[in-house]
Amino acid sequence: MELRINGNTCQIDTVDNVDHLLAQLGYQQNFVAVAINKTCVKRSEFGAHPVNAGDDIEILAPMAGG
Amino acid sequence: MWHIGDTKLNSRLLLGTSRYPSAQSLQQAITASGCEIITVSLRRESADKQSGQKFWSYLRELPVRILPNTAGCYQVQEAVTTAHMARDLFDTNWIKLEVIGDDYTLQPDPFGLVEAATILCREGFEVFPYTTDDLILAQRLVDVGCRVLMPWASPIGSGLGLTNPRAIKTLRARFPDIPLIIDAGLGKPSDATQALELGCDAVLLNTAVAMADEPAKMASAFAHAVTAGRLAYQAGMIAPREFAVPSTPVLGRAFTGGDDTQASVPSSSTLR
Repeated sequence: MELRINGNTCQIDTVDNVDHLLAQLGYQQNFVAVAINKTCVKRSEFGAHPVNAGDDIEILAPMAGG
Repeated sequence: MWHIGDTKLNSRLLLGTSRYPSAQSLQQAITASGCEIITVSLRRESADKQSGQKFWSYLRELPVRILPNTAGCYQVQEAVTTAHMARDLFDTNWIKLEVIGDDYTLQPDPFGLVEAATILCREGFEVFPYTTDDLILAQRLVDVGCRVLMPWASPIGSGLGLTNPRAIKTLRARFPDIPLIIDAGLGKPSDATQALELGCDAVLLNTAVAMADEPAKMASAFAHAVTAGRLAYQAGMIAPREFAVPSTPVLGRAFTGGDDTQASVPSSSTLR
C-alpha cells in the first residue's frame, strides 16, 4: 500500500498496525513518536492502531534542540 | 531555590543541546553549567541512521530534566501535535512552546502562540511559551494558564543580548509571581547577569555556549554570571545618578582649612 512517511511517498507491504509498520521499515529500538494524519498515536497504542493506505505518517525521535 | 509549578530548582541556567562540536563537549558543558533542565527537539528519524536513538541513549543518562520543544512549528496544529508526541515519548507534561511567525527573525507568532497555549494548558501541559517581550501578549498567555513566561532577549542565535531591557523590567514588575526565563539571543555572560539583575528568574542558553571556543568553560562562566546577577538583584542595587558622589568622606580633607579642621582632631572620648 502507498503511504507518505516523513514527507516521502513510498510503497510498503500491507501492515496491521503501527508496530508492524515500524518493524517493516527497520526501526529497531522503537523509541520514536508517531503521528498519523497529524494526530499523535500513543506508544502504548502502536500495537493496536491501524495503518491505512494513503496515511500521512510522521516518525520522530529525540534530537538536539534549543 | 525557585519553582516552576511544583518543581523546585536550584540552577538558574537552562541549556539547549544543539550545535555543540561533539557529544562529549555537550556533556562537559552540561556538567560545568550545573543546569538541571535541558531542551531537546523532535525530528524525523530515518530507519537506517537512527541518529535520534543514539542521541537519546546518550542524554537519558544525564541527571537533568528534559524540556522538549516545538521548534520549527509554524502552525498551531503542528505545535500541538508535536507537544502530544513529546509528552508521550519523554513522559513529561513540560513543553517549550514555539510557534514561529517569521523566517528571518524567528519571531514568535503571538496569535498562534496564544491559541496553541490555550489548547495545551487545557490538556494539562506545563507550557513554557517562547514569546516576545510584549506585555499584553504575556498577559494573554498567563490568562490561558501559562505559569511561566519565556520572553526573548533578541532573535535566536543572534548573541545581541537584551535589546529591550525596559520591556523585561516591565514584565518583571507586572508579573512578580510568574517565573521569567529569558530565552534566546544572549551572547555573553554579562547579558545573563543583566537579565538576572532585572529580576528574571533564569536564562536559557544554547548558541552562546555551544559555539564558544570552549563550551564547558563558557557554561561555567554563565553559571557564575547568573549567580552574580541573582545576588545583585537580591542585594538591592543603587539607583543610577547623573553626577558624581564622592565615596571617600569629604569631612576631614587635608589642606582645606576652615571648618573641616575640627573634625580631624580626635576628641578625648574617641581615644578611650
